[in-house]
Amino acid sequence: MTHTTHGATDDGPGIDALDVAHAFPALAQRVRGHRLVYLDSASTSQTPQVVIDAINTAYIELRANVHRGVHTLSARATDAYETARDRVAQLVGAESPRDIVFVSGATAAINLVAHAWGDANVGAGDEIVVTTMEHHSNLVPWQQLCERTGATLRAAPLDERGAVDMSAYGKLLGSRTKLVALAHVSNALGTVNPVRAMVAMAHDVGAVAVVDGAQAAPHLRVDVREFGCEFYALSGHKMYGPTGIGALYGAPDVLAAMPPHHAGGGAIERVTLQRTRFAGVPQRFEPGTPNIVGAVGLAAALDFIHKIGTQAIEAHERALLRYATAAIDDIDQCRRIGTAAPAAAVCSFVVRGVHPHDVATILDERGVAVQAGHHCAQPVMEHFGVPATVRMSLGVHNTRTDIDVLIAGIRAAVEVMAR
Amino acid sequence: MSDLYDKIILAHHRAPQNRGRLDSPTHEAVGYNPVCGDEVQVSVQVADNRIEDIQVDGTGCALCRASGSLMTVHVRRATAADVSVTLQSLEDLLAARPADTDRLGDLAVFQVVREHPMRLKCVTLPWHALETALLQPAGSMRAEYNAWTARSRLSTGRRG
Repeated sequence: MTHTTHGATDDGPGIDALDVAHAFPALAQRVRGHRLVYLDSASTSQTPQVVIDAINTAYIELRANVHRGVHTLSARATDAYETARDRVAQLVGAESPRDIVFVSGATAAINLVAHAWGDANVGAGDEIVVTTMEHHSNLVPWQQLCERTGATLRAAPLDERGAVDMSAYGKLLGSRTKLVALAHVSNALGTVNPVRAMVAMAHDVGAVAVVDGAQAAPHLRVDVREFGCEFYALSGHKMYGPTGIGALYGAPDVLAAMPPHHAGGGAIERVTLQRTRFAGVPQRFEPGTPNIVGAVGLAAALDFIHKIGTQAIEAHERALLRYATAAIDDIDQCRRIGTAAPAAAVCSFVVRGVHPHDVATILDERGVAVQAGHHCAQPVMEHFGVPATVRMSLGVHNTRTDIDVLIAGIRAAVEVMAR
Repeated sequence: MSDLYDKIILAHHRAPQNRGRLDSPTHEAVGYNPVCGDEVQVSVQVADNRIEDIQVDGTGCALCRASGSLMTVHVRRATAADVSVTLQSLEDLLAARPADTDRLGDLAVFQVVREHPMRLKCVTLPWHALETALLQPAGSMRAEYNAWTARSRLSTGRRG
């Protein structure tokens, strides 16, 4: 894939979206006789050829276990795996690759924190603060932690635009708050939270901050040291990488003090039948054979993103989101759900008189992939008083033409279903 | 304009029959699918083992509304056993198994939904709610059917 930099184009400065689209073999397919228009990247992203190639090569050239072997293939696999860890550290702005734990995804990352950090540090009478916009993966683990420990869960409300009510958030924080969990970007609404400010407010009351970056890392610059958060979670499959791999950033002193959650080979320093001394970080949190090929694929995806450039991606998607939201606002029957600014990559809406499932099906008949439902964010739906929305979400490969096809499909849905 | 939403389905979606809630039902149930947010409320009046009156209400997609509407027309004077057998035939049709199309009549229009396997449960939800209602003794509290946790007979095998 060539990286071409233009002046300001229709697709935003610094990116040739059609060029980028050609990097994704999946986008060449037809769906129900139409060109695939993939607008569901918030659910999972498409995979560039370079990532597919890296995975295939890994299966041929470095199919060996990591950290354990003496032979050449094992050294190669270990090197590739640790290089991938390095890449993730660079992406998120961590000080050292030792601050990065490979897990199966953002959900696993958050659960790891809830168990390994939560069980050791949270007790009866403590409080955990989340926001109402959280994906269920950054909500349910904290509910369960509260059930296990006798702590209380508090949720910061949203305003009518779908942004966190910062004044209410501040009031929820207090001396009992042990941990705050918040999304960097809302998967249902696209709202970008003021992470740095929210983390600082958590620190003011002595709480640690866990940031769910699953929806942010594909679209925005991440700098965990600038944010100051103790934990940051991301998923490979949301950022052009393979499924089954993700990463947890942990601030070094926090990780070092954290006991392991799952136990097994590779996470130990010394084992006897009676007792085990655990390894240092991050190996302590990576028992068993990891998703080696997945990590290599993730590294290739990060290289892909790096070659285009985070700023170029941000600018392209911002311009495209603006184009899309304006076009959706132009349809009488459409009402956007979530209108906060800044927003990234996601637009949720409802269509008067047409159920989201019917909109999504009519779009599917035209080759357009969107998601209809509650998007694993039922509290968000409840806040807006809707059972479900239609959600379109952008990837780096989307173009204005994609949006035009989407809009034509929505108008068709209105015409077909109007009562 | 659409392969799925043919004119019968659209007609019943736009002007659904027997919409609302009976004043004094003998049997009631709500069927819902937590995955998509479809909800169907069925209220029935049974006399001498046969459905004398039925109404359907709730929020749901066009397929759910259309199916509910067609159901209310189809089950006049039916017994609980008739309902279960028809539901089984409908599921056979949707799962591309040999189905009793004579019994199904108008309901055969739903075979177009086979092209959209993610929508099959929208069609059967009202029927499951009705079957659940009729399983209770007359005068029971409103029963519930959860499409997500219930065992499905809709397995169609892999699609190409």
